[in-house]
Amino acid sequence: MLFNSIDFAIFFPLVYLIYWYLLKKSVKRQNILILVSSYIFYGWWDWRFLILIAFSTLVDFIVGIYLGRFQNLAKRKVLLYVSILVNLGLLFYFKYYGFFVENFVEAFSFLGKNISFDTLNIILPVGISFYTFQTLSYSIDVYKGKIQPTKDLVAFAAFVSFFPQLVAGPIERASNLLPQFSKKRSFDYHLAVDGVRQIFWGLFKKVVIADNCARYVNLIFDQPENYGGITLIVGSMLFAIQIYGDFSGYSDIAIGAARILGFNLKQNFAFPFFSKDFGEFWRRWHISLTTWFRDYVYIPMMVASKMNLRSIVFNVLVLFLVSGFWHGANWTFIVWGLVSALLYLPEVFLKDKRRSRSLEDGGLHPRIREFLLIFRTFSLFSLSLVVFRAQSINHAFQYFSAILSDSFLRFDLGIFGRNGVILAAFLLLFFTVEWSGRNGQHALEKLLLKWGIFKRYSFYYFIIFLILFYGGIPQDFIYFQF
Amino acid sequence: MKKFNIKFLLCVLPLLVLLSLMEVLYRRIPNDYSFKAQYLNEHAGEIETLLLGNSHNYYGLDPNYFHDYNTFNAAYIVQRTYMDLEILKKYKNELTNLKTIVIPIIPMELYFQKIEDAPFFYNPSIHKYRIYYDLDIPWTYGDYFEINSKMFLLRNMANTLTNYYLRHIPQTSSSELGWGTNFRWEDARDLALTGRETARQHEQISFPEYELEKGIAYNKQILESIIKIGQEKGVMVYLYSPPIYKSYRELIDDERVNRAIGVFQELDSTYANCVYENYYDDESFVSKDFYDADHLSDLGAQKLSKIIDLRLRGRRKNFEEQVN
Repeated sequence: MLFNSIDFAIFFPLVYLIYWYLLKKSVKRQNILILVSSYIFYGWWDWRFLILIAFSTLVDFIVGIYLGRFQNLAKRKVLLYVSILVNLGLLFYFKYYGFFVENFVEAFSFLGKNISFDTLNIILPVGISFYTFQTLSYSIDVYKGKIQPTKDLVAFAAFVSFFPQLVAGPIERASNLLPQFSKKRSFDYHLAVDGVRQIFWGLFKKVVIADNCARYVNLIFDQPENYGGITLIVGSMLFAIQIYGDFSGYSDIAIGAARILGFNLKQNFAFPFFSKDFGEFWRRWHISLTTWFRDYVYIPMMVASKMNLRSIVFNVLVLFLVSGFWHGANWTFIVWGLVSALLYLPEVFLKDKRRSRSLEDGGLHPRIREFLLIFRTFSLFSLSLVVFRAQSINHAFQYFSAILSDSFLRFDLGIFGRNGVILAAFLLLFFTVEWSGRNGQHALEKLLLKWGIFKRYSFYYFIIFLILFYGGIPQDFIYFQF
Repeated sequence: MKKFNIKFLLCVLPLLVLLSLMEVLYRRIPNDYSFKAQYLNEHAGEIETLLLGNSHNYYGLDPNYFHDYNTFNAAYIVQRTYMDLEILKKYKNELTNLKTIVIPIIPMELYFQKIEDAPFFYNPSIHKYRIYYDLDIPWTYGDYFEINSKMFLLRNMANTLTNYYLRHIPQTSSSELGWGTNFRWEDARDLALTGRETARQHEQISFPEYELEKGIAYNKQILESIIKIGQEKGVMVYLYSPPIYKSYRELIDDERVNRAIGVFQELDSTYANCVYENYYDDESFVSKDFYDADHLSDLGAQKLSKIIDLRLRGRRKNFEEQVN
């Protein structure tokens, strides 16, 4: 079920009414409702996916129970390996099996041996990369003794499948979300109002910003050879904005919906496009994933290795390659991970010692130096995304070679037309609101509190008007494919 | 919670009123779907040749050139064979004089995804068959409303409302016998560009390579159901592959094309009331006959209508002799 669909517009109010009116006295019943509605939400795509999530949930629940019982390190290790093997095994089988087989076959044919292998035509279950990471982190945290295992299967299953964040995150940690399923939840007016605001802003980002950018991005990326260099650079920037609008929009709707049900999810995007360097950027972009990799991949690797420059470089490279590969079974994602590492690494060596004010402290507009740094980070990130968006490495090369062709300075204004001007106005509004609201959890959290009721409601209606009347052609959420 | 609910309802109430008003006003505007449904409701008994199918028939066959039989063009843009089947099921008892059904089928169509799975751009108007034809289509409940399918695209809806109610611009483009009049050769699009666009779009809406068999089975089964309805009523079903421009043709996998044509020919030889003819690479259609790489212009439509009319006369005669 998509957030930007009539199905969800009916489904969510129904869940809300039953949840707060009929079941508010019993946490257990509320959890059952969340579990059932989450399975309906997920099964809306394909009921067969439910078998997988139920299996993953059961395995980690049982592993957790036994980890709580056993003190013996060897036994605990075995249990942890079971959880890792099951979760990564599912992920590997459904997401990466075809990729490895294809590359295996190609490698052999390169060596002159033709072998055939059945790729099984496996369908990728939506959101598998997100919930397997969520359950995996639970088992690891229980193993490390950071959290106590839960004995409440319903609460645990609801935690794994919690519908607002099930298919595209934020990837929640058990330490934050699981306890919220155990305590009594009471309706919080301010939390709910802020949730609605965040949903509206998320919808605006998805429907008005991302879907409208998609139109030009598809056009430009489909045939890069037809466009001038500047158009292609603008195309890569529009893709960066599209993916941000799409993904952070999804996160906003997810967090907002969870708030209405009395849950607090972690912030997933903290205005990354205003970052002055890549270190800051990766602290602000897809926070739930970057912190996951930091805590479960990077830190253990750093602990296991010597603290010298070579191991830092190696570990950073591994971190970015793995996180690139997490996005999908394609060489483009691996190369994108590598490019991201190469953009980040110089900062490790050439750390700018000059003190710079934090993003949240800034004034009405950025200073010139800040603006230049922000623009540099944004443009380099956008260019790196060419590899991410390309269908193959070859396609990415085509794109870059078209940028560097004789028509480098050409800007094809014709493809944008009148709708391009409208889009530019939306982007101006979008960045202005994001900049003004950057000290909140989401752009509208604190910004609107300063406004009077008339101004605030006018703004709400304006945003709703844009969502209803100026949305682009509906596109699937990009991160669903991961 | 009460305060939140009341405030939220008050906030969305004006929107609900506005959207309801738009829905009511929008439905009152005569459109091609309502026109065709109304024609079938009122004149089904008079129709002898029924043109069904998608834009290839809608723009490609003008009933004015079909001389011997009363012909009506009930085809429309993106009207998949599934819809043709549903229309036939609905009107089969009223189509008392029906002698021939004509359906265009490009080879790639045999691989198109199920109608309910196809991307949005390829089935944006399914709901209109439910609203205006009153067909029972088993997909999402939201398709009962114009507003839902236009969700987030309400600007187009608002433009239509403004154009019709304020500027008095009609919102239909069909002739009185259902032919699509607005693909004039003077306004033709770039044939090379549209060739690439069409090839890409058709690839996007096709079943993936590993599920081609599924696609063939799905689309063939629908065609067979149409042919069987024809069989019951002693009606000839004339399937043909319309001409397409070389800029599109060159980008399609020949193997897939030949395989699809093989399936159509198999239908021709299996069912006595089914005829298949192929104009897919008919070189007599030149660039002026095309509006874009995938569709004929008004000039091309005139040419094809005359050819098919002639062919139908001959085929019809054979079929009647066979039946008698």
